[in-house]
Formats: sequence, structure tokens, C-alpha cells
Amino acid sequence: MTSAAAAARRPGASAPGRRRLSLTGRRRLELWLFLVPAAVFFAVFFVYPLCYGVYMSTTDFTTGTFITGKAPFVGADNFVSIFQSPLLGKAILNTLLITVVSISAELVIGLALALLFAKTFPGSRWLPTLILLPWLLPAVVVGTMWKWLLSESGAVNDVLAALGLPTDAWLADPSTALWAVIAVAIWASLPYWSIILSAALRQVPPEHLEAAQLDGAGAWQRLRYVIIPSIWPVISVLVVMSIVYTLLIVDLVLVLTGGGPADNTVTLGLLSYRNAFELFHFGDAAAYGMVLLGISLVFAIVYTWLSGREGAERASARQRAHRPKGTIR
Amino acid sequence: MNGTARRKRRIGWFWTTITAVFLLVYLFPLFWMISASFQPNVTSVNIDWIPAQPSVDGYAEILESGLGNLGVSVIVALGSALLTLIIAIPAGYALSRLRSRTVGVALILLLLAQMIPSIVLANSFYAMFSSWGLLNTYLGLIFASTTLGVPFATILLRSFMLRLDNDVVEAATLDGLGPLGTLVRIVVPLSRNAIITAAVFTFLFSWGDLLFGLTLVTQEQMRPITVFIYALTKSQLNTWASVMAASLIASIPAVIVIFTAQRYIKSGIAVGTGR
Repeated sequence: MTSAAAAARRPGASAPGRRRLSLTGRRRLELWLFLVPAAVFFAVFFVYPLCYGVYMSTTDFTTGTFITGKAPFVGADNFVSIFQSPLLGKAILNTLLITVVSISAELVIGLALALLFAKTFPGSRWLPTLILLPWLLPAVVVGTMWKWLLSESGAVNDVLAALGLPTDAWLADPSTALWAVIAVAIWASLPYWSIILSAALRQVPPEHLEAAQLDGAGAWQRLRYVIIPSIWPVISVLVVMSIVYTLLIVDLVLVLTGGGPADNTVTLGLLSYRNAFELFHFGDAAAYGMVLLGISLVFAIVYTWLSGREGAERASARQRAHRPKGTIR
Repeated sequence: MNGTARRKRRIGWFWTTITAVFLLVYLFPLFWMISASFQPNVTSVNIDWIPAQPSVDGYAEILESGLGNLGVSVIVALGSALLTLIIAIPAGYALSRLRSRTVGVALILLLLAQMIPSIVLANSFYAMFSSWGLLNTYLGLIFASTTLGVPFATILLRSFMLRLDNDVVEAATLDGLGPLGTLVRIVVPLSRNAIITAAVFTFLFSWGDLLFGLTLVTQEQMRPITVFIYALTKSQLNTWASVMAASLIASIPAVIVIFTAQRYIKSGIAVGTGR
């Protein structure tokens, strides 16, 4: 299922070669020792915090806990309290809306850009690289910049006014704030999509495109019946992975709106942050975190499954294509 | 023939123009940020598109008040890149050589770990680090930021090391190099490109982190530059010039990477989608 499993099953290693190169018990033990630092790090900084989060979500964990060391067990009370809060529904809705809208837009615009970047033209090697810049910027920089651009007297309104379009204090108006956040999220992730999709487009066999063209397929039909099917594995992995990352969005929202105006842009991650570090209700924060974790875990599992399948397909394709005899691994 | 070539050329320039216009619009916010950073004492109302009298006062202000925070970011980002490599290089190597069901399980765990919400970790880290005395320390920030890098770096290094020729590695062992010797003298030099990619990404992840800096630091002097900028935007006392100057300074690593290490970024992005 994973590429590792596929690699282990490769028939390329012939029996005698395999025996000669197979690891002796001693060497295998030494390799296992190389995993120790990673295993320790995982245990301390992933597994333990997750368990601790589960524990916190069932206790009344407050600032006092840091002094007294006592966090009374309250069972599911934190979950009951967050499920009764009107904010949870809003946060789930916002989180899903941000995710669905931004990813749909990123896919469509990203593919359009990728089609453009995959062409050969003067500057086609270095111009598209510039688009990566926004993706590499710290989220706080992106947020700060756009907060200013989108403000009532900001540059976006200048441009809109010059074009005779309506202006607004986009991030302060409850009816537009969420859409402004989504627009910034799209702006920030577009580079990633366009670069990956244009790399995928280069893998589309040109003879398929030529054959389609000879058969009289127009540009749209080539896109629909040749290009999209052949890059579909990349698209599916990309979409699921982006869903997981977009669900987790905290920093951008925090900088742009802080969840406001009137809690109109709260997300699950933001509520978790707010409860822990603004209200000091660590128990509720952990409960929000668990809801977020649960939702993202579903998509993470789909992602793992998809990328494992794609990895296996690729590995076997590579192996079929060119695998000199005698090389192992 | 000549005509077609010329037409092709013209079509080529047409696409160049389209791309350039798109990039101009798309990257306009960055231009605006640069322009604003050179115009202290203006509000967003009376700002010029191109500064009439450029001034570096914004930068001077930031370098005076935020130099320490910049230092924190440099130390934490370098520290977590280093720690990530120390953990991920041996792990990636072992996962590329071992043949066991555990490898598949480990890879799935790595993929899942990449998708654990940072805010969930941050909540727990705050409580954990508070009892371990790691709040407001470089070490605490480095540990937290390293969680952003280790899963990705291990997956990336493993997939690169899978392609290393086993014969070369075997020869080193026959020459009497121990496993650590083989790793350091043979595998690491051969994996140079992948290691640079992993380091660049981890550095950028850690440099761009806001959440851990915001939650695990309560003292102003231990704030990374990202938290410093966030605090500036929250305070009423700032000028946009200084905020933008600070943002630009925080963007320097990204700009350096674009112009010197873009091919590493592109290969790293490719691994991120499971390729």
C-alpha cells in the first residue's frame, strides 16, 4: 500500500543478489538504532502532547492548575460546554467554507496558471519561479500586508474606487470579512498549486496530446479527456492534502481578523487558541482541538491512503520503465 | 517556414506578456509593502505609490527595537533545522534500508504527524513546557518548531536515499566503516541535495512560525520576529512604515531562497505531494 511496501516487494532483486546484499542481523540492529532519536522525539513531542491534549480535554484545566498542579476531572463537561456554545457551529461552518471555497478556487486558478507556465516562451524558465515568493513568506507577513491593503483607506479600495467599483472596510464588515480571509488564503496558496500542477503537466505524454489533436480534439477537449485524467492522481493527493492544511488555518485568521468582526470569522483552530491563550480555559481549548483533530484525521487518513496508492503506482511504473539488472532497492 | 518560426516567436512573446502582467498584479502587494516601508509618518490615506522622499526611518526604528527578536528567530530557525537533520538523516537512512512491515507503519505515522494541528500541540506544549521550565527558552522554541520539520524531512530524505546505489554503501562497509561512518562519510555526502532541501524547508517553517512563538513565549525579549510583528499590528503606537519594514526584514530568508535555492524548493514541493 505504501511505497515502502511496494519497494520491498520489488521483484528486481534476484534471489542470489538479494542473499549477498541482505542485511545481516547485526547490521539490521544498527539500522534500527538509527531510528531511536526519531522515535524518542516522536514519543515526547507528538504522542505525549496528543495524549496530554486528550487528558486536558477531560479536566478543568485553568491558570490555577499551573500553580496548584490540580486539574479536576470533569469527564465530558468541556465537550458539552463547547457543543452548547453557538460558536462551535459557526466555527465548523466557517472552517468548512474556507476550505471548500479556497480549495476549489485554488484548483481552478492553479490549473490555469499551470497550463500557462507549462508553455515555452521567452522567460518561461524563470518568470514562473517568482510566483513562489508569496508562498514562502511567513503567514504573519501575508496577514499584516493584506490587513493593511484591505483596510478602509487601503490600496485595494483605491484601485476599486478608480475602477468605479464599490469600496468597503473588507475585514471589518461582518458580511465580507470571511470572504476577504478566503481571498487572502487563496492568494497565499496559489503558488504551491501552480508549481505542482505545472510539474505534473510536464509528465503528460506529448504523443497523447498530439494524437488527440490529430483526432480533431479542441483545446477544451484535450484538457478534459487527456490532460486532467493523466494528472488526476496528483490533483487528488493535492486536494486532500490541502484540505487538511486549510482546516488547520489559525495564524492567517488570527492576524487578519482575530476571529472578528462579531466572531464572524472564527475557525476551530482559532477558538482553540482563543480559549487557551486569551481566556485561559485550557480544558475547552483542548476540547476544540480534539474536534479539529478528529475532522482533520479523517482527511489525513484519506490522504495517506491516496498518496500511498500513488506512490506504489509510481514505484511500479518506474520499475517497469527502467530498472537495470543487478541494482537493488 | 521562416514565417511559422516568426509567428511562433510572436506567440511566445504573447505568453511572456500575459505571464508578466499576471505576476505584476499578483505580486503588487509586495511592491506596496516595499513602497510603504520607505514612507514613515504617513497613514494609508496619504501614502504615495512610489515614495517621493524615501526614508529608512522605519527600518532604523525596527532594527533598534526588534534586533533581539530577529536574533531569536535566527537562533530558533537554525537550531530547529539542525535538530531536524540530526533526527531525520539517520531515521531517513534507516527507513530507506530496512525491509520490514514497520517501515510502512512508520511512514504512515510520519504522514499523519505532519497533519496534526499545531494548535493542539501548542496547547499541550504550553502545559508541558511550563512544568519542564522550557517556556521562554530557545530550547523550547526549537523543540516545538522541530515538530514542523521532522516528519517532512524524514519522508523527503528517505525517498532520496532509496535511490542511492546499494553497492556503494556496501563497499563502504566492506572497507571497514561502521554504520555511523558509512552514514557520515558516504550517505550524507551523496544525499547533499536532499539534505539542503530538508534544511531549507525546516528553516523556513520555523522562521515563519507564529503559533509556537505566540504561545510558548511570554517575555518580550524572547519573541521571534513573527510575534514581534504581530504585536506591532496589535499596538496603536506603530507606524505602517515600521510594520512594513519589519515584515520585509522577516521576508528576507524567503527572498534569498527564491534567488539561490529555488530548485531545492521545487524538489521539496514535489515530495510533499507524495512523489
